Amino acid sequence: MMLQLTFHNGIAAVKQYNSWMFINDRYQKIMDLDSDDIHYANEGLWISEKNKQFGSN
Amino acid sequence: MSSNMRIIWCFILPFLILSFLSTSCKSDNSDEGKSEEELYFDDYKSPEALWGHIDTLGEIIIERRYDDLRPFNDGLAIANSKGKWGFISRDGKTVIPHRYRAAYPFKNGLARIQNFNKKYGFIDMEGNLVIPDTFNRVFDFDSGLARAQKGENYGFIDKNGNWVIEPRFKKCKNFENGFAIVYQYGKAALIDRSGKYIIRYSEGNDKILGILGEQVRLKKDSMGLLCSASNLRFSIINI
Repeated sequence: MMLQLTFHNGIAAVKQYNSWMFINDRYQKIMDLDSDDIHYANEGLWISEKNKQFGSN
Repeated sequence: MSSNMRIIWCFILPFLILSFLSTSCKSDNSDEGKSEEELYFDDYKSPEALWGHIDTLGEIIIERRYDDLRPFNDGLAIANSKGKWGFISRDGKTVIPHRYRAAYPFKNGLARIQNFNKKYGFIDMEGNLVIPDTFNRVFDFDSGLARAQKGENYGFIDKNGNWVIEPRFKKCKNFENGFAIVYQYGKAALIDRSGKYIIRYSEGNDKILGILGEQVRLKKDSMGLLCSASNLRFSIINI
């Protein structure tokens, strides 16, 4: 199951197997994200949710 | 049942009923004297998962410590801390304290807020309540006027919070090029910025479709009309 958010400045957030990552516009993984949920904000920022019980940040 | 038992029950039963009623009355009145804010927080529980901002390098810009969070707009983001909304800056500092039931982004230096009395007003960028929270609903300012609801009806206020057009409409839209569509009795009308009717409530199936520049699109008897709001000249259009 994959979920992809809209590209912003050549970067999109993708959720695959319950993990979020950033990809570039060639659909290559840039990095894994330590987030439970993510939305694009604006001004180059993303809003990130993290459950405090299961993570350090 | 023996007569002795009947006598005992005659004393015990009323006592039990009175005790029950007294307990239920106490629990019903437990909210008595509580403020709207206290009642709101009786039911509020912060979520386990908290929100922050990260950048495109995955770096944490705003620590994930908010119950809810909105995007930055003009350098400020609306953030909910323990059930109360406030405004934070990009460096994570609280610029306007977390004290509102609801808050909306700044537009032209003013932001709509809802206090725990459930009423809406406007604050400036220092967090001063510049238009008192006395309205049931407000919308952002547009062309110097904001739609506001008092009681059941909508009108328009200026930036001092004074009624420019008294609340007498069931519904209304923002002013566009000096004109606004308003609704009353289930029908639409067109008013100018003084509240004067330009086009009275449309009849039957007639409709005001929208404002296009200084012209108004109308539908009359299945025919499309374009009406100049300044001289009320009509021309036929396709709809």
